[in-house]
Amino acid sequence: MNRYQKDSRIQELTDQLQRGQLSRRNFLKIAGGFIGAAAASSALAACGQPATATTPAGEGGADRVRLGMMTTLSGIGSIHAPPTINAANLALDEINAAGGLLGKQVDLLIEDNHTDVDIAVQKGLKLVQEKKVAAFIDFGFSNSRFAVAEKVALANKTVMLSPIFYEGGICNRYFFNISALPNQGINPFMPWLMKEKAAKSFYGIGSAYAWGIGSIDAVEKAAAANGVKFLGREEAPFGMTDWSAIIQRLEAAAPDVCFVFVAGNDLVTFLKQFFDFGLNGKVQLAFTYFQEEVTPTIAPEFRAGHLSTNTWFLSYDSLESKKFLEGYYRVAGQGTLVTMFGEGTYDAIWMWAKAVEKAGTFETEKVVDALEGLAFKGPQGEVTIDPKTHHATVRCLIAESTEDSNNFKILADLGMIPPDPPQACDANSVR
Amino acid sequence: MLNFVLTSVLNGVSLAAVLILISLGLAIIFGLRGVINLAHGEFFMLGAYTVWVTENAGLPPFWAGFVLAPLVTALAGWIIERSFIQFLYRRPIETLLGTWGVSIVLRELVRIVIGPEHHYATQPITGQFELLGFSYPLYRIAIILFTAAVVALMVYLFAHTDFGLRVKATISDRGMAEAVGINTSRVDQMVFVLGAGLAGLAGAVMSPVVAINPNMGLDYFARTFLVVIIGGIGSMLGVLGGGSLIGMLEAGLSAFLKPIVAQVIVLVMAILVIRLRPQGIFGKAK
Repeated sequence: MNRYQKDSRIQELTDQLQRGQLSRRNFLKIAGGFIGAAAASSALAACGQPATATTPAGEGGADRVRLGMMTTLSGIGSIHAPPTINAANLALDEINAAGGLLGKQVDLLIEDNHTDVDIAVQKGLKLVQEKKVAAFIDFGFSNSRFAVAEKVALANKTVMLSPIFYEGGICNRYFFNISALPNQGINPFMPWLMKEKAAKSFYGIGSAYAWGIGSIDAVEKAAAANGVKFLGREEAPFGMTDWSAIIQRLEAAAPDVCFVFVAGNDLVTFLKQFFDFGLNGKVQLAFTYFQEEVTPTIAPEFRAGHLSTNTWFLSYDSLESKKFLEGYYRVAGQGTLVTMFGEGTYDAIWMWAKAVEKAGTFETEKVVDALEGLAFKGPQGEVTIDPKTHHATVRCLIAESTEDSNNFKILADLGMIPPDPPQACDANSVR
Repeated sequence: MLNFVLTSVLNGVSLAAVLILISLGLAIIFGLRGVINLAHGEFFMLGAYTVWVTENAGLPPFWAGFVLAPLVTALAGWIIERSFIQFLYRRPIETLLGTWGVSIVLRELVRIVIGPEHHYATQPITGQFELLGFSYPLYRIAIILFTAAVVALMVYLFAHTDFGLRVKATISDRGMAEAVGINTSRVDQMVFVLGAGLAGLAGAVMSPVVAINPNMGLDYFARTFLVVIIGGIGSMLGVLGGGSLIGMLEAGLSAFLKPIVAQVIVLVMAILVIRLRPQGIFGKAK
């Protein structure tokens, strides 16, 4: 196969993925394609810009327009990806079935960012410069989100929507965050823990990168603001396999509540060792990320009783949730894993679509203006984009895990909370 | 205070035991055949997955997988050895590249066939060892004892059996060994299969306490190499020494310092050892 054939093969696989559900069979083809694509893309990189003829712009092509999406199909974030793809397919199905956008059918181009900063930027540039997408969804970790927002979205003036919670700090005209900031999770969570669980002392354990450290910072700040003790913090490097020293210090500090911001595989390893050291029941664990994809990896006897604040849970009951799940299961198959990452992706794509309709054009600058202040009633409720910060008003739910990995018992619904990024976005930085 | 010291020491010993157990197979293949097996972490991963698969097939939790894991990875090792490693024995760079390729294929194959999700295996021994107010997880103590047993078995295998004698003869003079009727190609196979089997065994032992997923081998990959290189290639003592040194040092430092700082210090020490004593602490100078 020459590189053009490879390119078209990958395109064909991607198309197949877009059309149907993400079955294992499809996933197999795609993953196989990516192995080939790795070789092809390095060949492309070596040859400079490829001479593939594509339709001139997101707006180009008579009756089609392209929406890009990067997600963590491989690498340490690979467990998060399937719901994002299924939900994206659902949103696209609905949009296209309703006649598309401005009379054009929307094609979804999915790229694997390998949960890696460099690859995310490369794939983002490919989507924007080569594939000429009208806008793109970026589902990645904090380190890659910062890079993509700067080097892809801002540098190429293309709308980027991020459906995964983070610690805050990105402010540019083309970046839109459709998920929770610390003030929409950690900040209201702490007073709730103090009131409902009589928590007086806190501890923070996180992965040593932007999200982990930024989130522990937020806990420390919230503890000071609420006048409760913050007993200590632990930052663990990626790939940590032995947590005994950290668990030992946690046990010695004996906080009422320990916030955990550990990413990827490491979270599961940490939890297993936390339980093995017999700390379950002694220290209450609290999360801003603990959901339907993590619980099945824990033995049932240890599953129950952990607290998490999310923007959406599978067990959240609303009319829009029901409708979303119906569609999701139709596209992906009954009982397929769905998480708030899927819900967020669905909201993000619909918000972009609404903005395009409102703007009456795919032209980026006008779509950005239309996104500012836009509201969309998604499964979690009415998500609104704050024009000043480009972050969204989202729901804050507090739930407790149960032995049934899919059933989080919702203990509190703190409603829709407006965003308050830790580093203030002044009006200029988003304009 | 005493509890703190005891727990820290046990943390160090159990980490050392884990590192020794995982490094054994790597060291055997590396030391005896000169093949740097970059797919070692993936054999480890296959071992852990074997436990999960057998458990889900309804066989008795853990123990069936525990017995099957080394056999499955040994078989995988044999297939890989026969299919191409055997043609590359005298070309270290090519084996490096070849086994690296194998590692990617194994990882992605598991991701495609089984999926990217995490899994768990039932822990066969749960609970805490308790004595006068001191407690420590029983399973970690079991790992320490089990590693000691496996090391003893390997020492016996190489020092006191016919197989050990054949391996030694093959290493010291291949031509001569063949002249006295030793099937050296078979010895090569056996060594590779043994190393792969040990990796699978380590994966089975660790499966209840770490996240089972396609990437799990990568987390151990770098440190097992450090153990082998720092300890010294070609001796059981090297693996024991290297594993103990790295495990105890990292756990000891982690008790007082941030884990990141502890890991950096261990790496700096590794660089110093390699600079000052390239043959490893327990290796013999050539």
